[in-house]
Amino acid sequence: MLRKFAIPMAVGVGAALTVFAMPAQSMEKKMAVADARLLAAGCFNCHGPAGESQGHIDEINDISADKMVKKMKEFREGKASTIMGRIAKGFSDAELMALAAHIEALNK
Amino acid sequence: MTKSTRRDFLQIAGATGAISALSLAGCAQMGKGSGARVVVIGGGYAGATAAKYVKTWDSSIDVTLIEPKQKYVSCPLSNTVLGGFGDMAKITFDYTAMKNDHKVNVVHDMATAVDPAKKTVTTKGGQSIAYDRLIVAPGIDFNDFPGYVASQHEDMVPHAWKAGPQTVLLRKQLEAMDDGGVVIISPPTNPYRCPPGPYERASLIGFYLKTKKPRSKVIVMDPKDKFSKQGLFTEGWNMHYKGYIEWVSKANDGAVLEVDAKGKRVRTDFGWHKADVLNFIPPKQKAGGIAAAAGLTDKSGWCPVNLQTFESTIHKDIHVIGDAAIVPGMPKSGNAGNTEAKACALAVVSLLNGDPVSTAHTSNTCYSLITPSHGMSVNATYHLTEDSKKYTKMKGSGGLSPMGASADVRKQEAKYAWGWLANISTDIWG
Repeated sequence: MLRKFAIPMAVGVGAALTVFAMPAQSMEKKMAVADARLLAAGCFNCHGPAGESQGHIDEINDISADKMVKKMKEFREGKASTIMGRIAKGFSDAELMALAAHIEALNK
Repeated sequence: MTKSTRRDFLQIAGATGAISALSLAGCAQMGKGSGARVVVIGGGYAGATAAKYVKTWDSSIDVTLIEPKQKYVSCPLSNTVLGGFGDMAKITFDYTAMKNDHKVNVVHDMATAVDPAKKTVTTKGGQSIAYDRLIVAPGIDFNDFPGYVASQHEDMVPHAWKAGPQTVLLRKQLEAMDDGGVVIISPPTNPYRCPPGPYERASLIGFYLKTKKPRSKVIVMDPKDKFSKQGLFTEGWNMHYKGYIEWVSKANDGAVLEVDAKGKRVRTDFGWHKADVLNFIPPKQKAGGIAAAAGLTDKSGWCPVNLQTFESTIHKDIHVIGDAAIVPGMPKSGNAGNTEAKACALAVVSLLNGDPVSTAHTSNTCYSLITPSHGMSVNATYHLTEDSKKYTKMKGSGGLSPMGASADVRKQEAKYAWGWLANISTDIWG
């Protein structure tokens, strides 16, 4: 359990720093980035707590932050989907990185 | 999900939450929220989420959930019971995990009064429960309508707009109806709980009639001239229910002015219309009773709140979430309530810890079924506007399933509707 505590602690700090260190991008210059815990929790209503799905919908508890950001960007850019394209377009790059890092940390 | 993983998640999530809150605040104030008391009124989509997530994000906070019912029946997907292919067990959840795994004190009692000065909640059972911050999630109630007072008439003419015995009653009436019967559904005026719900209901009752009582039909008598997901519903009705579903708009005399519950009739401008099964969903809905009793409602009957923290703009230290709250830009839906609850829970945890409050971020994902294998959705991811006056979608995001999609896509979305219920219910009550 100690080990499980230790890793998210480190990543938690990292995620917070990432958010603040992120250079403002033109399209999202004025948009505040919500706390990573809140952004991540917004995925769990469809994908299950911590991303562990009960079925029918893909689980997202087993992919790295890098892979999640990449997948979300692909959806945003038009990769075929029923709903993820519409959802992915609702997040800025900074938000995607923060939520993906948090979900990765929860599941380490 | 096994119980042990669930507990692990909470411990990890709790630790991560505490640490990122500390790093955001930039100072070490661990345990400052310790001993603080949060009371939540209402154990539905919004209230139960708030109780669980306050505990998840700061386990040192003492959380009490006040909910009269032992079991909660979900409105989302309850129309499948009316369609004859869903069952009540699948949409019923309890508070066992809330108590045992998440260490929330669950009090099965009815909150009857709030004293915002003394900061206490009084219950029907005579308890007085003190809070540092109160979260109120009472759902909806109905204003009286000519000929229809829910408490007097719902046993004859079910609204079934709060799932549970009302759902079962409406289903029984549909089963008892002779083939060749007419079902009248009267949807509410805006704003109301679950905008696409009445039209999904028409679809799934249409499914039941088409498969079991093919000489019968559904008439939707609407006080509106347009409705949620209208294009997609109309497309689906043309595809599956020609001759089974008729929608009568306000312009075509659809608005019901009076109900005769005993005679199962409704009156419009042009006269009385007789139904064999009448489903009257009362218009002019309002926040659940305790909200008005606690003085949290404005003249609209709903509760004005600060959109970042969901704290009432009328009473300090009391937050209102879910269908009862006025949240410009967001619909009154179970999923919206779940994400409002998370934003509110984090704000409450931050406020109790003296930490800065994050900007809010919410979403809505709403599936509707037209047949058991024809589903479609509307969704949105919401940011708070800079002036914090409403929620808004990022340009180009969200929206509806496309018109004219293939049968495979519709089937996939129908499957996702059930996946959504399984996962959001675990996120809330699991």
